Amino acid sequence: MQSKVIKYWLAAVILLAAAAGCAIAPMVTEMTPPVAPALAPAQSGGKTLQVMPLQEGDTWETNISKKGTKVENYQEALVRTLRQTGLFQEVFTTQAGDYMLKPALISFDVHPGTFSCSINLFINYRLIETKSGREVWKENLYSQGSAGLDRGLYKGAYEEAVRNNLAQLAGKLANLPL
Amino acid sequence: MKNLCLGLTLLLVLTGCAAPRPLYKEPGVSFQGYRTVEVTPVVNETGKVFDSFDVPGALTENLKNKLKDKGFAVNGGDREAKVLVIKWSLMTYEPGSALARWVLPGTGVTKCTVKVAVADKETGKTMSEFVESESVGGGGLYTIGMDRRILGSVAGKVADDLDRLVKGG
Repeated sequence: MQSKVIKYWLAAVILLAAAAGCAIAPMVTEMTPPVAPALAPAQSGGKTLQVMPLQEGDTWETNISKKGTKVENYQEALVRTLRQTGLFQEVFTTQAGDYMLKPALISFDVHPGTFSCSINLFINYRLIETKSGREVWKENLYSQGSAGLDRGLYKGAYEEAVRNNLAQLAGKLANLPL
Repeated sequence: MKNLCLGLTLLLVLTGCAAPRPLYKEPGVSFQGYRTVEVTPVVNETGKVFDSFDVPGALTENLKNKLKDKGFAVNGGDREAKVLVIKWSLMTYEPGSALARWVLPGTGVTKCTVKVAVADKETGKTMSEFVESESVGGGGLYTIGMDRRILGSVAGKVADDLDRLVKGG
C-alpha cells in the first residue's frame, strides 16, 4: 500500500516538473505583426534607423515604473517589425542611423487569472532626426492582449499585446513623411 | 513563535509601504496650481453596446464624484483658475458574473480598463497620459454588484492619479 502511495506521489512530482518545463517564453515570431511591405511603399529614400532599447524604470526623465514588469524580447520584435515594413533601408540597434527610435514603457499591467490572462501595454515612442536632434514624431501607443489556457495564458496575452502595439507603430510610421 | 509573529507583522507593514506607480508626464510640464478639472464624457471604445445600464455615463459620474471628494472643482469653479481637461476612453468593460465566480473561481471575471489623457484647457497640450484598470476574478457571491462597483474603483484610481500629479507639481 505504502509503495503504491509513493509511486503516485513520484508520478505527480514528475508530471509537475514536466509541466513547469513546458512554460515557454514569449516568441518573437508571435510578437511580430504580419506587416506587409505594401504598408509602406518604397518611400524610405535610403534612410536608416537606429532602434534604442526599451527604456524602463526610474532612469527615464518621466520616471516610469518598472515594478513587476517583464517585457521580454520586445526589442527583437520591434526591430523585426521595422525591417519587415521596408520603411527604412537599414534598421540598426548598435549603429547610428539617420533617425533614432526611442521606445519607453509607460505602463505594463498584467491581470492574471485561472483561465485567462489579460495585459495592458502603454508605450511612448519618439522618433528623432539624429543629425539635428529634432523630434520628428512622438506618440503614446496603447494595446491589449488576452489569452486563455489554449494560448498559454500570460505568454499568449503578452505576445498579442506586443503584436498589437507594433502593428499600430508600423501604421503610424508608414504615414510619416520621412 | 515570537519571531514568527514579528516576521508576519513586519511583512504586513512592508506590504503597506509599497510605493505607488510613478506616472508619466510630458517632459517639462508642471501641474502646480491646478485645482479645477473639466471631465469630458468617457468615450466608449470597447465596440460594445451596454444594455443593462449606461456604463460610460456611470463611469463619468463616478469620476466627477471622486474628484470632488479629493477637493477638485469639477466642471466649473473659478474662471481665472488653471483648468485641466480629462479626455478619456473606456477600452475594456466586462460585467462578469458573481455566480460564475462562486461556482468556479477564475471564471466570470469583471474587468474595466480606461485610457486617460490630461491636458491644459488653455493650450490644449497633453500633459500626461495613463491607463488604469481593475479586474475581479474571485470572491464569489460577496462580489455581487461588482459590475457597477468596479466603475467606482477605476474612477477612484484615476482621481488618485490626478491628485498625485497635481501634488507632485
